[in-house]
Amino acid sequence: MNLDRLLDHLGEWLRGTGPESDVVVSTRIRLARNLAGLPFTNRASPHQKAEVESRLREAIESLDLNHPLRYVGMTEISTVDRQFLVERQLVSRELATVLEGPRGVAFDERESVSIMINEEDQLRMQSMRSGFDLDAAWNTIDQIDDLVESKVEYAFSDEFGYLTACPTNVGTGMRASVMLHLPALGLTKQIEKAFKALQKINLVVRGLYGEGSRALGDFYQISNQITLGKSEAAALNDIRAVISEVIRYERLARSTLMREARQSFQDKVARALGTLQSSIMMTSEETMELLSAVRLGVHLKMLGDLSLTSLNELFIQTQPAHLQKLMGVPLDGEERNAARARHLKHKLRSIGAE
Amino acid sequence: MSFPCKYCGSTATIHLTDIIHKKKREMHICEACAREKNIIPDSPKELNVQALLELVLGAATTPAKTEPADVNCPDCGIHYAHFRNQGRLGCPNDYVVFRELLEPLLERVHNDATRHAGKVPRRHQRRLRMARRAELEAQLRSAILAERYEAAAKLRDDIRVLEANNHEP
Ligand SMILES: [Zn+2]
Ligand SMILES: [Zn+2]
Repeated sequence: MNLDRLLDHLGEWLRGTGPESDVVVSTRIRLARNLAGLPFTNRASPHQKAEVESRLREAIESLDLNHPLRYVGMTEISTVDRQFLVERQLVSRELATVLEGPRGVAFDERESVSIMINEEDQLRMQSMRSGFDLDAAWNTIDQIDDLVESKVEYAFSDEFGYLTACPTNVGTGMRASVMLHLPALGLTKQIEKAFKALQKINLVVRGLYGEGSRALGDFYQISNQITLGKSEAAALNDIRAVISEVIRYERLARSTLMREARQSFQDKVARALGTLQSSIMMTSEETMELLSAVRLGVHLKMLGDLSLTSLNELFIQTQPAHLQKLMGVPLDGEERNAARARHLKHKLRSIGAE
Repeated sequence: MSFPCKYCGSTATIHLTDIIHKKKREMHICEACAREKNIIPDSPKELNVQALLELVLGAATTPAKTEPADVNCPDCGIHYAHFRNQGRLGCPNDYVVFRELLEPLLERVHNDATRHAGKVPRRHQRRLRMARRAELEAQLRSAILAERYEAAAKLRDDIRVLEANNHEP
């Protein structure tokens, strides 16, 4: 399967629309499922993995959906293509580079649903939404789960729920994750304070890509930890309450910034944009930091012409595998940094950033 | 406010909280240490639950006193000790075979819960309904025999409700 056609599109989670999209980048919910009567992936023979793959692939491709799912086997595509799917968050790094044997992913053309086969669990089904939309994400994946279940028998016990390879997922098998962009909390050094609320109710927060006290680019992912003894609805309500709080904190910090440090903040945004437009070499870390500042500038209406959608495009296109596919050749680290700088310069000019 | 990393003392960016037997435990780790301890892989996607498990469980449970490490599953052959090492079970049957060993672990990870409270697959719903119906019918029979007519009427209603739900998709 040729994945190049995806290059011109933004996956659902990067669309930059959806509820609360000034703070929430995306919402995703995944369900872990396994078939009854077969070993989990880590204990399955190559023959059993092949059997699981063909049974599930057939079930998934025949689902009656508005947007049918198409399957891509990991063993059939190049290393760059696998990395490309990781960057688009359609597959896990595990599935792409660590696991072996028959395995793959089915996804729809909008990239709003992805189903991994033979990951840690035989089925890892996830639905993605841009912005903060737990209900829509849940409804989609719940429905797909029902449809798949009408074709295969899941490993399930009345007592422990959906049985998973790792006991941390047993029960609902559900992990809901919300990706947040919290630059103002980062700038005003209030991030830990904001996250104190999370610690009360068993949610996990992690910086994305980052090191040090601030996550790189101020992107954070918050997800539920508990899957047993709590219904899907209850778990979603917990996360909903906390995220709403965090959104409120971030907006408060933004208005404080605008009120008390407008000029120095404007300066920061302008310099970030200037650097992106004029550099010769650019690492992906620096790109992330600078785009984060520009992104906040867009939210605060400092940069009239620039849209969130085109910024998101830059986020994804400057990732290593995307860049190499755009350029059409494999590039080493230095070459990528040069290509990244050129791409940013060119793109920012064509979308009319001043 | 910021928290020092549990391992190296620099500012932590990863904060884990779990509540063990009503006692909240917080853990703060910096990104570098988390990576070194393999709690997060290079990908932004998901925590390494195995390493996380070891971290959360390790301190509290090692060395385990009553852990018959050589119990193994007749279906997939996995030994309990092997599971404890790598954090992954071998097959669905392991939840039956290792049940007693897993329960304390599940309690710790899932905030004292040991019983599922969520979605149930349709084919299990049918099975559950049939079992429930048989149970109600038995109760109804003994209520009639004991001439407890009020109880019998109530049971008959319950069976009717169950019947009605039966026709839902
Ligand atoms: Zn550390
Ligand atoms: Zn087993």
